[in-house]
Amino acid sequence: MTIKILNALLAIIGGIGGAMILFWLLNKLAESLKGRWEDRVKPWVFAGPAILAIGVYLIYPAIVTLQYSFANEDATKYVGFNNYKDLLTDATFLSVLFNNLLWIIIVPALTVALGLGVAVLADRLRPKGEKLSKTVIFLPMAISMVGAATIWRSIYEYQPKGSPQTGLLNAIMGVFGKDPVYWYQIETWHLNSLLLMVILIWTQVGYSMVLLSSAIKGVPEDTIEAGRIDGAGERRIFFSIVVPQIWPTVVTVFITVLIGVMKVFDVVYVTTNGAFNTDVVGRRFFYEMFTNQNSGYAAAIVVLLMIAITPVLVYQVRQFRAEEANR
Amino acid sequence: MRRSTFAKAATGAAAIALLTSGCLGSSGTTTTAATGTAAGAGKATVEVMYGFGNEQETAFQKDLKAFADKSGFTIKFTKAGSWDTEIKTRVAGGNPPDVGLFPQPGVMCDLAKQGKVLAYDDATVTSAKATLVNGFVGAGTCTDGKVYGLPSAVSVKSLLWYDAPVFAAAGYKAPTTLAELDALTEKIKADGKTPWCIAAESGGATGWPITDWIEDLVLRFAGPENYDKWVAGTLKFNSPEIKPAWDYFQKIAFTEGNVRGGTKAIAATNFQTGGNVLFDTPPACHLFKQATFIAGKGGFPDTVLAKADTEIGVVAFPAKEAGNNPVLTGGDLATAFNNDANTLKLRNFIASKDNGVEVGKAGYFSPHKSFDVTLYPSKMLQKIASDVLYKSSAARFDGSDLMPAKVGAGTFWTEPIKWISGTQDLDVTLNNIDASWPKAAS
Repeated sequence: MTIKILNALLAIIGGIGGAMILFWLLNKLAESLKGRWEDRVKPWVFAGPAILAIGVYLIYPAIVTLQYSFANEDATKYVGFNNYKDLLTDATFLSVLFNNLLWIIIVPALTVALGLGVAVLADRLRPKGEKLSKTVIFLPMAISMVGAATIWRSIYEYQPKGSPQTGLLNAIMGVFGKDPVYWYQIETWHLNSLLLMVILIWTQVGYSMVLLSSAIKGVPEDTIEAGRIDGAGERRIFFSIVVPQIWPTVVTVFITVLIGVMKVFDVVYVTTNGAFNTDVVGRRFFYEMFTNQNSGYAAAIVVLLMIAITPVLVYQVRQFRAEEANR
Repeated sequence: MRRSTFAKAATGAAAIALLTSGCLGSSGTTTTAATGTAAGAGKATVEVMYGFGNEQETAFQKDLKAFADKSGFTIKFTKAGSWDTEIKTRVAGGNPPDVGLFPQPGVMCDLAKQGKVLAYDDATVTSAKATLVNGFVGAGTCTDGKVYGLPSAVSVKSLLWYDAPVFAAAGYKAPTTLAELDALTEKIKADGKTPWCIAAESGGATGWPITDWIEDLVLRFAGPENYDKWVAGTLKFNSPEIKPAWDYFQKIAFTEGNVRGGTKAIAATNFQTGGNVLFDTPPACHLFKQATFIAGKGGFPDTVLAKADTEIGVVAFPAKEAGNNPVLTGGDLATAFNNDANTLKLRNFIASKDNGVEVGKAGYFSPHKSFDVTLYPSKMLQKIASDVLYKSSAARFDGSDLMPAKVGAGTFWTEPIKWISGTQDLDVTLNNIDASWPKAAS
């Protein structure tokens, strides 16, 4: 055991030390070059290892995934666009896509709206109250998705009629003399998916609150005062003065949550495992890859997901650049 | 300036030196383990790899250590956290253990096809066959007809649980045939009570308890031979041989008033705690089907377990015709990875009737009928062993574990849940499962 710990420590020290030596040597090499060549080569010397690492660990796997998405289930033969054709004509997969769409529309918007609401209201509390309420709302952020799903189980849990209800919602139903309901089973209006989204929103609101709160605090007081003097009401001040100034942060939070939601997996996996029409793309990918062992379908799903996320990423990078330019 | 670069270089060099020495230290230990292979006959250390834990692990080690001490070699125990992945990785890496305990024959037979595991010799198979419960040799037989694995410890799944005092008070008799089971179900209903608890909720694995139900019924309605064909994929789910099992389950589970909470409750009730209400006063249901583990920690309530021998009633899941009752089991198959004398000695011991004394005391069943049942720690377990396991006409391994994962851990779980929760009918369910069966390997 001690040997293992020692080895781990040595590996950490060795890794950092090795990297240091590598950069130091490369730097020396670059410095030994004459004149302008030193300036030309140096940036590549420092960016090079990172580019190489991204190439090996990101670009290459992405290309292989693309390649596999045109191959059969154990990647031994090319099948053209068959994987995509199969998936996009499969009714269950289309409902998976629709579910994901619901997640994408509802979760980021609600997360931002709730986070903004909490941030604004907490801002008006006394410092002690603000700290306390923010801490409590931020807490779920520290809980893993699996943990969060387990916690919410005590709210959604169901016991057959006649025995004491251990789930909060069903206990409330009991107070009003209604029969207990197995919430995860209710597909009408995608109620079960909505209930799962609540879990994710619960964990994400803290994050959105913290960023938006600091943005609101950064809004210059004189702009608000100027609005007051001009006779604007509270609502007007909020929507016409505060919101435009924190808009870049709102966009950043929205997109970060959006990307997280597109990849959502764990909440669905541990609660319903995609049953009762709650399936999402992330879980379906896992299912095709590790249960069905169909790397063709799995790769095709990932490629579709990549295609869907790309515009969002492009927008985010553009937004970021625009912000930088404004500074 | 010069000084600081020198200092940096010195620290870096020292770090690298330390790193290399550290790495050498660790790789040194693995090399020693690997060089042991060179010896021709009778390794000094035999490595055993297995996937189970808890009391079973401790007891298993005790049993094996006693044997190894007598035979003059030592054993290295390796526990795999995730059996399938780890055994495949080690075999692919050319570093398999000497003896492995496969929880399912699927991967074992894959490795047998690649020539990575050794078959048993005829003499050992014959002597094992004499005491093994009928059907267990078949469990470790691969498609080439050779026996690659023999079971060491097994669990029993074909069990019907009830509250013994409640049954005595109400004058109910534990059923031995399906006809008696039907009659009992009707009688309990006529008394204004709920006969069944069926629980299939298991988080992400929801639905698997249904597979045990269906497998037990297929064994009874189609017979063990057809069960094998069904598991191998030659008999379809919607074939006339297999469908009666589903029809029977439908009769039990879908008939109004049969199941506590109605069919909707089946997918919502947790498999581990779903049977606890058997012991409520008054009981919320009277019959529950689940494997042995349910009468352990995390299953039935602790207060009931404390008085297990008087409180818990258990019988074999009823037979189709009396006296001919197959049993559904799970277990670990002992398999050898090389031709070393001590490896084979140890493997044959693990699979023999002499093994399992400590494991038996820990409450895990030996697959050999000759085993002394009084060693099992409770009357309840002794009864399961002597009345269910050793009296069964044929033993079979859990079928969903043997089917391709796409079915056995996929559609066989999810499609019945859709059926039970009312989104589709039985025919659609069976057709969907059949459609999901992977086409013959190319």
